Amino acid sequence: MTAEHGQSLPFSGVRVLDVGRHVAGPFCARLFARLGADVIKVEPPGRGDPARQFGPFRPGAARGESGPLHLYINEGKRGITLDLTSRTGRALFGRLVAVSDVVVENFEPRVMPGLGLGHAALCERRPSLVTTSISNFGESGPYRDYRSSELTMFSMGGHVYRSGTEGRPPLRMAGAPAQYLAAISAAYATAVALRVAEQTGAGQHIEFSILESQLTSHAQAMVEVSYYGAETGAGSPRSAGMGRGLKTSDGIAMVSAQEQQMESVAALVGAPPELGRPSPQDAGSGRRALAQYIQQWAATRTKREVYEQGQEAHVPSSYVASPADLLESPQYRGRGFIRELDHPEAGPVAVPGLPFQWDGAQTPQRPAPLLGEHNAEIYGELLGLDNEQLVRLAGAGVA
Amino acid sequence: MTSLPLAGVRVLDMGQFWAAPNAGRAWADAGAEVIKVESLHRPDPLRIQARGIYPDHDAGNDHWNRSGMVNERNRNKLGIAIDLQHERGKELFLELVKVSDAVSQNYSAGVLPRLGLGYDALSAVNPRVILLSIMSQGLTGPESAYVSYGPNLEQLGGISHLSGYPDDPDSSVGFALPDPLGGAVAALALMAALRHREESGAGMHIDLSQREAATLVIGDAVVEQSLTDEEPPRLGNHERGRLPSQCYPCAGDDQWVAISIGSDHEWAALCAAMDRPEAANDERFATIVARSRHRDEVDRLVGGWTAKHDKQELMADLQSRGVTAGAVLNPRELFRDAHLRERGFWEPVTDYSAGPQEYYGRPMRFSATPYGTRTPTPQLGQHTRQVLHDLADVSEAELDALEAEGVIGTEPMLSAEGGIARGGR
Repeated sequence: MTAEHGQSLPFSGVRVLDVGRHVAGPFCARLFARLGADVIKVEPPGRGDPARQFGPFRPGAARGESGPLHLYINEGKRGITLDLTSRTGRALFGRLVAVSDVVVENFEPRVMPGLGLGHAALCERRPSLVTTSISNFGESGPYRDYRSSELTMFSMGGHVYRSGTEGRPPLRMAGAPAQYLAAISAAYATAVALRVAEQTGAGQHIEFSILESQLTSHAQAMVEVSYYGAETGAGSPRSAGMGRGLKTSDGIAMVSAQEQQMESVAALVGAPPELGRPSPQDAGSGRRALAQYIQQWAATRTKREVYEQGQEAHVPSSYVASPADLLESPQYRGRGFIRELDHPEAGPVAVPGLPFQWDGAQTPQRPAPLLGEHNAEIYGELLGLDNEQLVRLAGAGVA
Repeated sequence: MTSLPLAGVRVLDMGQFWAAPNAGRAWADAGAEVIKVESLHRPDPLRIQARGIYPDHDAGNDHWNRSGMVNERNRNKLGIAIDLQHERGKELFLELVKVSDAVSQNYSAGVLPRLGLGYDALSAVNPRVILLSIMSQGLTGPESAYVSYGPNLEQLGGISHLSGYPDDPDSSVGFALPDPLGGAVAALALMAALRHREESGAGMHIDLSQREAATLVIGDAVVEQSLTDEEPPRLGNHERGRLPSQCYPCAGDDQWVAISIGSDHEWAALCAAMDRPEAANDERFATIVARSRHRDEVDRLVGGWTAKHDKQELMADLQSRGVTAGAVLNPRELFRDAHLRERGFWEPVTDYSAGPQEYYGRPMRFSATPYGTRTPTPQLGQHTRQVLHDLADVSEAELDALEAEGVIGTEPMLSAEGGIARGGR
């Protein structure tokens, strides 16, 4: 696959088999798709990846197998169906492995070895194969077989306990940060192992734990525990991330006044200059007085005005952007981060892409596959199966 | 095979704060020679922040080498301190660029070009060099010059809008996650660039946007808006298709357990654990549709039960019954956690100035290649003389002269005001 102006892409020539479901495995594979790899999404016949069924759907869209999560996370891939629980299915999978470089999966740790598809077995088909297994808690330890969801994972990961309002349940972050952070780091690890495989011909297995990936994402709490046994921070740990929102005429914004920016902030919001130069003795009351000026200033402006006027004064400032704001963001449009593509079932749909770019290259786009959309193409091209054989496999529920 | 996977790759890591140093550590863990580049006038700001984290709160005689956040994120690197505003300092830096594969940086937009060290200048001395710029909002676009911290990027990236209690739009959660996310993306980006270079023979300038990295975690909501033209709801702790999914109170002060029920079968298992088997068949609760109509009653039923129990015991008991549950853990508990201890996740490191500490290890384990901590975080300028001697052929006499002039050294020389911070806290 090549970029739109013909240059090769970083992972051109690499084939990835994506046998996972939901977020972490498929998103890891999707990063490789955006970087030029041939990524084949392998799904069970009939129902496919459960992520397909997560709505809401476009009103009137045909078969209801193309929910937003699927359209997002499986963009850029080709798709086949294959029943890995059947003997024939596993044999076909082995033949696909023989012509692939990477297998990414995120089942519970017992699943792939239980199917006879652990690393050692797959490596017999392809000695340079990299297998990346992303699991919730890793492949050992007392929690190995624990179930989890984004809520329970994020709660265990040490961020949730200090969020939200005292007296109410602590809060998770929206979206699936634990899953996405894991997917991205696992893609890095996969790329490292792929480099080794390409240099030496030796493949290997990567074991990746989503819980442990969470624990690498703390600003300072973990360091504090090691350095003096406790976390500091004023007052209750709850609400650590709260109360910084400024109410504007049409939403919420933020002005982050650190010490070195206080003078600029005071000037920006029309506060007395001395509030921008608080003496250490009355820093607290000075800050509170300045905060009032900031709030009054923000109340008469839109959230984008607060953002832009703050930035013009070189003060880190921001506004709470909704998904609609992001779709219209001049910054995102200018960079082509969110681009529209045409999906055969869902119609035109805007999908966020890769958060980095180079030399103006546009990375390839392909709408997320329909279930089994590329069966004929892939089984034919890679395994030399003809139509009759495919019909037989479909009839037997294998593909 | 035992050699380190990125052996032979050299990176000049100008990263500061959090996102970029994290990426540098990932490459260093894999065996790349990562040289942390600082200056005496401008060390990594986390070395010299006003309320730093020091062992037992003791800043010691060299507080810049005792800062916890620096020491956590810069393991396995070499450290040099060199004044890039000084002509000779700049020349020596370019000598290092000549023999390096990549330069990584997260200065504010425009800083590197103003130093005369933009991509063109680097590429002129080494056409194969990869420059990785980890920016707030990227190098292009109308908002590219804007400055921000992690929480700003949570707002701008769309996370804050969707986070928080459904009844309180200003209850967003601030974890500064765009920094670790941006660092993880940057780690991958260099691997992509290295492979690309093998084909093309040329370096490239990678332009990374941490705001865009933040949007990745709510990307499905962007697609949803585009598909339905309706705003995705703020769900709080609720997870679509799972009910209940909530943090419930436990015995003790501000203790909680998260429970997330993905099927009616799982609900029945929870009811059995609560010793309320009849609730599994109660028409108010038996199906997810019914539970969604009676959410308050469900929460009272479950929360009334959990409140009497210890969160860790609840997690173990519910998990043994196939119920998805996780205790809301704090960092101290995670340090003691039996699972993480058994897996050897926490890693003992003896820092040069901060002494024995434990830092997080790595979420990935490779079956055939070593990957892990070999050396602690360098002290400020610890390896300047060695690196300049070995890689730029600078004589001992010149090193002495540079040191006397303050171009290189091991102690910060700080002006009264710091530069503007970006990219983390």
